Amino acid sequence: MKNICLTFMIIVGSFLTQESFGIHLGGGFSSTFKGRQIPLLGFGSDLGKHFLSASTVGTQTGAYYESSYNANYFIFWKKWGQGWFGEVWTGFGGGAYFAKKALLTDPDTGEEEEDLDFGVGPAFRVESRPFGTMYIAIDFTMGLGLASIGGGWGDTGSLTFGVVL
Amino acid sequence: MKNIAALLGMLVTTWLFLCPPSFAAKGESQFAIGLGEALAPSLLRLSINDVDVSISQLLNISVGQRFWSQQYYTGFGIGTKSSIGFYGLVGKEYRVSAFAFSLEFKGAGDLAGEVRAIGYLIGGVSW
Repeated sequence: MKNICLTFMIIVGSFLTQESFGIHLGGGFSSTFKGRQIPLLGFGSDLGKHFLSASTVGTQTGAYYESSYNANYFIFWKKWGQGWFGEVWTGFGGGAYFAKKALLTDPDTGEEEEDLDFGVGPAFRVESRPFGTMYIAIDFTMGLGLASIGGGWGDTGSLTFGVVL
Repeated sequence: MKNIAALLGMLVTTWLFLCPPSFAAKGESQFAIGLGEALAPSLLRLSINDVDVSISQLLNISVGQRFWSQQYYTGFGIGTKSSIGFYGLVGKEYRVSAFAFSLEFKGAGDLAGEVRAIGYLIGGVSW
């Protein structure tokens, strides 16, 4: 788990050295938890014509835990116009996600049953900025990983509310 | 059956010849039905002057605004599922005479924490 976190931070950190036109920081929800209100931490960096987004969400109880990480790089990042919801921006690109979960199967021995999921594939982001520096964004990564073998997209998405710093 | 298929083919070919496909444009109004997961009808939408009013399985009733860049469009809107929800969409639209066909990808999330994405194949009448 430490290696995953480290890799995730290195990927995100490597983009921080580029000139940024705004750091996005926010919280929201993820499709990882299928409707449960587990808070998500979202990060973004506006690189002018490109955009980097990353998010992490997780939960832990005495019986199970689940952690999910997602990073997207939008090679196409464009402002489409200004309307009711302020400026509307859209990005197309690619992304990856990784999720790990474990269920305690034997409380006496602490034995756990683990499951890993990952995916790489196309991604998109639609973002509105209704009050200047505040933003509402929807991110989706259409994963082509293990989940897609079963006949569907292993997609992960998030709804994020935040501010542009 | 073969004759009916041949007749339909001829009609469609003639129609396409007389009204060659083009791209839809900004400001056109449209009434459309969207096929979502498993190609089941899951979206009903009225668009007037680039304002979309939709009934869909994602956000019940939603209202949004669309922006164009040539034949591509994107939109952002607000919906009523779980008190309030937001959606964003990207799409590309083709037009054959009065009928428009588009492929659209929509992601939506609401304050109950449900986040989903769905692709739609949309067909409708434009004017």
